[in-house]
Amino acid sequence: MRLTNKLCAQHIGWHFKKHWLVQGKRVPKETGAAAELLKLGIVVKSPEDILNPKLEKKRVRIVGPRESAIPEDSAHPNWHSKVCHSISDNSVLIGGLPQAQVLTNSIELQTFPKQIEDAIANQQLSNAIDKNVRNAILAAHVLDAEQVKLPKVRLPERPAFNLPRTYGISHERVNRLLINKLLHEIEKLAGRSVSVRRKMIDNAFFKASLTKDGDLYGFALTAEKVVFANRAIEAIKGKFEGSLPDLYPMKSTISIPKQHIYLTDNLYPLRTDINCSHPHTIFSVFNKNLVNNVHKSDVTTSQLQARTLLKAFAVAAARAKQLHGESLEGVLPKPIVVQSVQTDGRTFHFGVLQLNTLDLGANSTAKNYWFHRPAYDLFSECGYQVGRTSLENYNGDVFRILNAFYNNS
Amino acid sequence: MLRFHRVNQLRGACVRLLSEQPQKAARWETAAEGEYLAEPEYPEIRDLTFKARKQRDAAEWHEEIRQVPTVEEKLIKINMPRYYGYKVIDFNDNKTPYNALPLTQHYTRTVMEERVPAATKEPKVGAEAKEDDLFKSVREDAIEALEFAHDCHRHLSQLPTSTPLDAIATEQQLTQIVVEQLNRSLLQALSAAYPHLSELEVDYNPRHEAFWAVGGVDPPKNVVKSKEGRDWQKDDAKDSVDRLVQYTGSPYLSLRHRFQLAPWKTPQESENLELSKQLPRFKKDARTLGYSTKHQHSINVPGYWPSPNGQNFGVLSFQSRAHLQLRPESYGERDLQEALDAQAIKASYAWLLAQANYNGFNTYNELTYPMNTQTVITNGREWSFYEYQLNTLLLHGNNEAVNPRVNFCRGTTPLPLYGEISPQGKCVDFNDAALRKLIAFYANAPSVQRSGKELQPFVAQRALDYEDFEQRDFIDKTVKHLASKRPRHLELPETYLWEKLYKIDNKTRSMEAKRRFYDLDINPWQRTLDQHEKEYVPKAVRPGGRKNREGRFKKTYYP
Repeated sequence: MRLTNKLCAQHIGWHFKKHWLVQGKRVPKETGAAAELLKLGIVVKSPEDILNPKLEKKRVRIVGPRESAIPEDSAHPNWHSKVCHSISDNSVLIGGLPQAQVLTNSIELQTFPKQIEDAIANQQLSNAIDKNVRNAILAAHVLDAEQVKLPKVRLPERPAFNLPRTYGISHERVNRLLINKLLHEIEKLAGRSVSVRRKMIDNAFFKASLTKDGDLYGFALTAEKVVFANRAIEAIKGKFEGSLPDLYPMKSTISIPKQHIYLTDNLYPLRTDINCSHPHTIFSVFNKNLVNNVHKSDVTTSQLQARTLLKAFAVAAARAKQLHGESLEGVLPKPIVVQSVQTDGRTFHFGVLQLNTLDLGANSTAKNYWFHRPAYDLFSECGYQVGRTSLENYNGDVFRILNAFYNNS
Repeated sequence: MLRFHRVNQLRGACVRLLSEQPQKAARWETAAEGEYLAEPEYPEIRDLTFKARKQRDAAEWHEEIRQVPTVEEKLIKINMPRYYGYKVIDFNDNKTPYNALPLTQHYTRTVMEERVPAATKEPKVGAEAKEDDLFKSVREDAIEALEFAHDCHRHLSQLPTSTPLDAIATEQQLTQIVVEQLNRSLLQALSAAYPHLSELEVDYNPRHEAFWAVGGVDPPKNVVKSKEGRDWQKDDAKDSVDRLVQYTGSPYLSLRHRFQLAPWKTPQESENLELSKQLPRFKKDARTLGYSTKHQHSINVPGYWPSPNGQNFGVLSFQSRAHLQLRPESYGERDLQEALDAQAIKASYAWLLAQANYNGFNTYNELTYPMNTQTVITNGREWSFYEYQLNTLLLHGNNEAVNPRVNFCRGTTPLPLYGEISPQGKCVDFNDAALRKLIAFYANAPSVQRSGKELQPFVAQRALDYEDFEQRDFIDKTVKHLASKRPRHLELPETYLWEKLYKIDNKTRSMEAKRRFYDLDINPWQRTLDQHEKEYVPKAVRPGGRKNREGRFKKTYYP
């Protein structure tokens, strides 16, 4: 068709409708007056400045404002470019005891030191003591009146079951009471001559930083109860030979979380000039709900045993650093012996660590000694059985070993 | 009409008795066939007024509780009338309001003995030189323990990982460490001289809870209004009511022993009606002072469950005074001292009451022997020492006026154990007097041993001796469930606002079927503990097989 005016016409009714709106927003035309006034140096204000002045909001300091968290990146004051492998309470080594041995440069000996073995064999405890210990176990596990909601119990063969939630004594309290009561019994047996040389504290925190083959390790571990003595345990006599296990193809740092933000300080709970400050025995608690592998998988026996060793090592290393200075990196003038007990209320694992050297490198000649025995069960069942308290299969060996540990010097 | 009929019956019977004919024994059961007494023996004329009937019902209920054979079932029996729990005044060791002492004395019927001014040192006799040696060695150990505890606390507070604690939590942490270390060193140092210390049981932060009923309190406004709204209760609207009290506390440490401490007030001194009348009476509601109420079952726990190994009696407990930091300075010195006294009275009474419950006594069944305990209130530096003798538990109802027995408490002002701890960690200005008092408390050997029948006159047997394992299990689980303060799964039935407006206050829906609980005159708060659906036993689990209709529901063994 022909290109005419009529053909090119468009429907601009929308524009007509919009015009009323558009004409309402009048844009003032630049008259050039403002520029001239500014040239003369006269202050020119726009209406917005007077009608809607920009007020700066004052920061009101209310008591206890939330501290904004310092972001954990390279601007953090404790950032280091070199990673630190940090060993803490709630993570375990995936390689278990062999990996811990390589880490701490210690050889494993499947028995206790001779003096402790002799003490265990020679002690004779009457039945009354066993009765007291059984009462103590019942009192800690069953007869204490705390009632808090306990963690969910899952049956592995019925994963969808929601069992009724039980109320009872919390795991940490059970262990606290059990360890306190067992130590109380031991101290009564040992008498004032021994117990005046011991002091105890709860929830002690130990920190030690070490290097091994160019890697930096930070041990930051808590021990739920620590017994200190006024004289250090004597070094264990005898020559012990052994070799470190070969972890190939794993490196000894596997599964240890790496941190860029850390402090390389060493912490020990007591000052050196206090009367009883030598670490004698440490008790640590294993809570299977808090301590697990990556992705919450269960902890194996070997990993449990490794944890006992690591706790003892952290304590000994912190003490060594405190006594001989932070830069000590080799054979200790006097070996430090630390006894270590790990428990979860029922199973007890005992071990003795003799720290001879802080040189953890692969080609160091001196080695540390780790004496331990497989774990003992204190009982098989302890609880209420249809209205009656019951303690099944009480094992007296645990108390005897604890007694021997306490009296060791 | 009923009243006249009864009186007529009574009159008729009296007339018959007076007529001296040999009576059939059926009615009075006094005379056998052929025997009759010259003097007629009338039964007592029962007061048939509403108030007297209510009192008799209450007395019958108390007698029922007394007859219950075991301790655990008695604990359940007191809870039977209320499914949802009682409305109780909340006594605890986290709050002591201003002017708490008169109320505490009324609510525990305690006489606070006059404080003896700090005695001058007794002249040291030569024979006591040995004791002095013991004291010197204990003193050294105590100072060492104190300095050690302060070092530990300083280290804990300086840890980089620790969260900053507020003033109360810091004081509690420090005092916990101090008390535990001092306790250990004192037990070790004194065990040789005092053999009872090796039989002590130590509880760490135990749970002390006790429940009791107190009479002689003015009724709250809602009770007054409710009674004034009914014709037959209008005149009794302002009568005193019973208030229920529940104490919940957790001391730092408590020590227990098999035997009881010796009482320091004779039975003659304890039964003194004039003294009980002189006790302060706080008639106003406890909420006016600052206490709050809550709904809870009655819980009596002295820190442990009923032990199969025999009885335990409390010897010493260390209470916290950290919450007193929250009180303003304007309360003054005198009220601070009174608050400490009130705290000691509350804590001692509650612990003794809980122990008494485990021996078959409770707030409705009176003690047959006195019980004693010692309490120490401390913040690590200031130590107040209190001794308490419990003679009576009956405080409810009329007993408030007629019970001649009272409880006694005597104590000291706060004694500082040391002046301060220097920045180097050394103890400055150690105070021997405070240590002597503490040693005296430890040395006080529990010597009173009672035989089984005297110890538990109202308990016939132990719950764990029942042969029926279902019954044992049921009783055990019920006691633990009641003590756990678990909330009920379902809410209480509710009257909706529209129902209150259109059905209760203004009867606008007369043709609606009466199905709701308020239509059927059911008060949901009065639901008793056993008014619930019984637990169903699946056919596969039923003892007696699938077809056993009798075993459909699990049997309950409520007392």
